[in-house]
Amino acid sequence: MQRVIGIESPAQARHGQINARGDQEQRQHRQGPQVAIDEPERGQVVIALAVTGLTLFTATLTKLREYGILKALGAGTTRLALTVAAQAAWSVTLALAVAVVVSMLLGAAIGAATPNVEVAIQTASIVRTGITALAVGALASLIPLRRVLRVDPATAFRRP
Amino acid sequence: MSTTPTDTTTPPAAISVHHLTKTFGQGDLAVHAVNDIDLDINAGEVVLVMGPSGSGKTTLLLMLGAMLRPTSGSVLIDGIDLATAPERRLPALRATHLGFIFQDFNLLSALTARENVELACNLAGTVGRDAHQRATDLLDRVGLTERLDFRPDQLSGGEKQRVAIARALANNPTVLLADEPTANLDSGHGREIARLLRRLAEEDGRSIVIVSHDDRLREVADRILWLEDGTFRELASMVTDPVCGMAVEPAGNPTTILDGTRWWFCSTHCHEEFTADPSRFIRPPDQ
Repeated sequence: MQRVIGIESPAQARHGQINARGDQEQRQHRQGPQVAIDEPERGQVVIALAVTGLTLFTATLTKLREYGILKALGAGTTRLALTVAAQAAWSVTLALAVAVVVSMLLGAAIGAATPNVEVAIQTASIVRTGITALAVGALASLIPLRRVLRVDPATAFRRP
Repeated sequence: MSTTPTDTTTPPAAISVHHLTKTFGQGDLAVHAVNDIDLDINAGEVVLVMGPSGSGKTTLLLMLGAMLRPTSGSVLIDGIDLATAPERRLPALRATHLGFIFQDFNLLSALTARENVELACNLAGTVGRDAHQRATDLLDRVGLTERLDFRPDQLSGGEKQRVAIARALANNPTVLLADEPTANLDSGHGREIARLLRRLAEEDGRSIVIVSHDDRLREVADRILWLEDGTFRELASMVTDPVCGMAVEPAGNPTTILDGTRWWFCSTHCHEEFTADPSRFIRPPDQ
């Protein structure tokens, strides 16, 4: 029995329309159960939000003094918000790139180690996951933003 | 006490402080960190504010820098009263009218020297190539042409402070506010920075307020103000504690007479240290 693990849409998963590696012939011979990893569920989004939020919050806390310096130099609310958002966007984009590469390598390794299992990662799934991740990142950046906006610019005059 | 420039023919003050007071706490617990201060500083003038720890120096600097609201009084810079300006306008006022120099340099560690200065240009409204060019010019002016693309951790203390000074000039400010700018520097670099600040005041006509304990800065200052318990004291009427070197008001402080000379001390601790072995603190006449 060959199992196919694919990252695909729910509709595709229901109808077994696995589009792995573009190899139609090979796919026709697969009759085993198919395991689909689809778009993130609500629970997964909440977990992602918590993890991303915590990561961004921690990263921001370590730079809180630098945000205080920016405020002392005259950075307003909008600029600080954009800075935090940019930090979130870069973190999410970098994490997504790493995740995609690692997933592909892992998929290839699983495929090589177990001939009856094939891992397929579709471009559309990556795009969907990316959009969700960016949305989660944007939402998560609101958590450290509150702290950044409250930082006292006089922090710049205090010894670290 | 009112502290105004001695030359009455000079143009209107670049900074004008009137009845400035900052009180922390209320009722019996109220502490007047700055108490009813008047101060006028002319364009091109370097004013050094000295005083013991806790005397209100930093509180004064924060109010001059639009980072702390006074309890009462006014701070006029370029005709704008920082004390009554709306809270949302204060960042823009800092970005366009004031330059800050900090004891710990406060450069952003991930950015190069040029990027640090460029960022301040951006905050003041200069962007793109103009900001890049201005940052390059300012760093050239402070003698860091060879260090443009160095990060702070690749620079010496003196170089970091010069980057910080270039950054403070990015918005072409009326006033430079410096908090202990030489405290983290050795004597050579400290003097370099002191002379650079003097040059900026003379060449650009900027007003510079320096808060410091560093006696080396006396030589570049036009005026030295002694702040103690939140008010300016007349430095001319003060004496120097031979133990710690602090300026001390004779009235109300410990004193002793030795070989016909009267000595004053800031505290009983300095007094006791002196009386235990005066020879440690009195220079022979020929030196």
